[in-house]
Amino acid sequence: MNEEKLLEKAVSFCTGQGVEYADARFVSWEEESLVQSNGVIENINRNTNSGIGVRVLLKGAWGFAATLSQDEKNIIQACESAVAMAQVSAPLSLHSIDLKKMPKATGTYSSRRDKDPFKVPLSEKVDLLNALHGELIKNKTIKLTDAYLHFAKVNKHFLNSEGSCVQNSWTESGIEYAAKAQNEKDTQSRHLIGWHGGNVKKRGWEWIEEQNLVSQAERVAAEAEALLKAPSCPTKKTTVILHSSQMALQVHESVGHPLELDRIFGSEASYAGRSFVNPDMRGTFQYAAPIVNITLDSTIPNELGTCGFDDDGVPAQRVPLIKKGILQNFLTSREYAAKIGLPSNACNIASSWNRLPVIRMTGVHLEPGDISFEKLLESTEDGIYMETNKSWSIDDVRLNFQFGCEWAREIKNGKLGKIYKNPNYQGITPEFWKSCTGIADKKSWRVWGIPNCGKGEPGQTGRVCHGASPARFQNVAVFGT
Amino acid sequence: MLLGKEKIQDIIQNIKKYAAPDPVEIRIQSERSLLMRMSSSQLHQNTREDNVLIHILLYGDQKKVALSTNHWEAHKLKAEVEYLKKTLPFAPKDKDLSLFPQIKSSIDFRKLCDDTARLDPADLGKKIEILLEKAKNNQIIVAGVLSAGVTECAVGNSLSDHLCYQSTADASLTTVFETDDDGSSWGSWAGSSLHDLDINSYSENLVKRCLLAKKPQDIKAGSYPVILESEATSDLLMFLGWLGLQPKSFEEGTSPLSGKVGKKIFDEKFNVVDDPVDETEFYQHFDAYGEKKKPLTLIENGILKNICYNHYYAHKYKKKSTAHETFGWGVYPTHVHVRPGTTSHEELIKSLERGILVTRFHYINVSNRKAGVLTGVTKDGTFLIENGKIKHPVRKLRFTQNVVEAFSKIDDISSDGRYVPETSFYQGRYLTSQWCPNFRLPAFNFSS
Repeated sequence: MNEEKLLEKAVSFCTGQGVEYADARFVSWEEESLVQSNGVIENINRNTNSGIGVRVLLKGAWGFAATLSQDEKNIIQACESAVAMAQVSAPLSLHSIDLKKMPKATGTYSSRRDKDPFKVPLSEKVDLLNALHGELIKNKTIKLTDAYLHFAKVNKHFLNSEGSCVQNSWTESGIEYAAKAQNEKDTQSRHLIGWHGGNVKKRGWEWIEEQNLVSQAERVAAEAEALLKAPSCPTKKTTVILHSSQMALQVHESVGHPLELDRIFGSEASYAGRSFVNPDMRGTFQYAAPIVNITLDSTIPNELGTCGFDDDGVPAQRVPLIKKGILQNFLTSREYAAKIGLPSNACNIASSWNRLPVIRMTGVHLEPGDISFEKLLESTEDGIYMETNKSWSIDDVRLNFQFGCEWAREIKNGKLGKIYKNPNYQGITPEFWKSCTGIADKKSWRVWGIPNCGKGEPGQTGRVCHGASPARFQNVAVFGT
Repeated sequence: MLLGKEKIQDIIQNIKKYAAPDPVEIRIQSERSLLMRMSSSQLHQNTREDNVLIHILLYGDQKKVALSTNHWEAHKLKAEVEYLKKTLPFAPKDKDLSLFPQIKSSIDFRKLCDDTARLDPADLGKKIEILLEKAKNNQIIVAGVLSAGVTECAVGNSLSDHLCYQSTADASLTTVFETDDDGSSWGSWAGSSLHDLDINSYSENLVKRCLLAKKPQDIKAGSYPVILESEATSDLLMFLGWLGLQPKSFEEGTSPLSGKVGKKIFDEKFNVVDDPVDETEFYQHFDAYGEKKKPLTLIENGILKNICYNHYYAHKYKKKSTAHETFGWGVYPTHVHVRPGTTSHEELIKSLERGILVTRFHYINVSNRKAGVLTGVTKDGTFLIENGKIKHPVRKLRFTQNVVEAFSKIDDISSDGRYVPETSFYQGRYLTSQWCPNFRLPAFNFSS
């Protein structure tokens, strides 16, 4: 029986059990990864897995069961389990879940893939990693390198009891490569590309080729070497300019997570935490300076958070979250959007077939400003420029954060000066965002794919993306560690 | 989906047959689990999972290729092995690679408490009902997770017909209790039998601690003497293990403990053993290479005695394997036991003139790897102590602290402690725990 027939059987069985709503999701993953350490390929891994998750709403409560089996008998057993789980939940639920009606969704989404990475010979992948290692260690201070090359092919098929039937299929490609300069006292890292698991896009091998990484190796090695000789970042309050890669992390931790509506309603309180934001702030709360505009957009072609439909079957969309500094909206699912009387904006995503969907950032982007990066720098009298995230920690309501970077430069009279190692900055979310005094324009705006955002219990790794240009903030506490 | 030992043996034999004459090792995990998630004082997510994960590692000519799959049917496994055989010739040589170790004797360990292993959602629901009721009676909001599962793990390879097999049932509960005036408390429990979870006393203790933590006050950031309770100690030790006690960073010189084996770098009161076969709690009798696990002294009287190695890194760095290859999570100590002191927890508080008591930390991360500097935030019960008594609860504080320096001066260690379970898992159910007492440290840096 093909997967669509099995999903139909599952949904039909569940509706026969008197549930208010049912959906079934078939998901299959095929992955390949290469791990290289100090020039040695330590691991070549392939992963294949697939299964079906069944979700039902009964007496206003969720039940979910997942099975790897694609055998009809086992799938019906999973349906029975989902119903049994919902029956246990119903008397222990205070608020009945009411999914507002939505139009039936049908359609398919697939990402662009010029060169199927699974058809690229293994030797070509190994050659690339070896070439990068070879270039980096030409600099004699580079003693260590670490690389992670990763590809995935995913197929997701969703059906629900309201007649929606959608399919998302995509290919992912990403690479992370770090060089470490080392002397007797210290080790300093510089990433050639892809902090946080590789800068991943929903594209094929051509994305790896386009980055032309070998040509950047000499510069990156020299920067790592320079960090070994650099003084630690000074401790002071000053102006900072953050590179777009660090802005992606800043948006992720201090805007994306706090605006997840399930989190705002407390569903992550025992794990990832809550949020300082509450639903009443919508439309009035000054989250950031008036120059700041942040958008949910899961429609940008071939980015990691882009999809056709979420796991509620809601079509992907573009929605302002913060406009001229004022909070406009949250990241929502059908369940949570209904609590505040809004339509879902398609953020309910499960990491695979064996997980219940939870609200995810998909694509949350800082819109570009209207000043070039060069002008932004030139107009900064005194400050510190930071690049490439190295450390991140934020409290459970997403207010008190402390982030560290690999690379910092002094800014003096509009020019980059001294190099600093181990730079960190600390802040409180809205105060920090309200101190934004400049955002670079579209020329330096780029999207960063992050494949390892943790949330949920049991844990789920979300695949999200953030577009950003470099941005400037004033009166920020900086220090070295 | 639980495969059972016989099916697992069949699968391993088949894979060896498909791979022959190439050497192959096979690691299998399977689980059936329930997980109920509470938020805003209600049962909100209720899930069941059946899954299998089969890892196949094919070797030959100083080369290795690997795959993992949840397709356990014979024809699919045959196809996967054929893929590996086709790939292997194209893999580069690894001069440090040695063939996996021979499994010298079979292990068959099972602990399946019936009350947990039957995985009845109604059993878990009853516990949650009591917990929610106790909290409601005290106007407390509850969030948390109660889960139960049966897991199997097995290792076999082509060097012998011996099989390492373990099948266990376990359950765990973590909860945060919160008041609407910023009070909160944290609880965690894990064990083999759901029956051992005394939900009444568990809930009552959390209610008491939550009410004590109401209306926290701000205090100035700075360096304070601290009492770190078991959960907070465990949070720091887990990072010390990841940062300092694993072979790659240790040997590469990027760990704060690199080159320091045999040196006294901690307070002499600090004694840490990794004991994965302590049968009072969770255990793991073999590692993912099928090597038999045994207790390993990590720190003795403040001296760093050993770090962890798996078969690969032991060969690479000419050391002896300590059987620390986990099932997919790297090489580090998973079952840390800290030797207790002789002072009761109450005496520890009484002896503190002025300082801060920390229940646990949230979102710890590494700020400077080589130096061992961590940052994170206090959570769910932080209190100012003055003249040996709790004066008032304290709002969240961020710490930025060198973890090696933190344990280099220890004022005292409590005689009482507890198993702190690690219950958050991303891929496959794998519960571990650390036995930690409470520590009184003379200085701990709260940075904001």
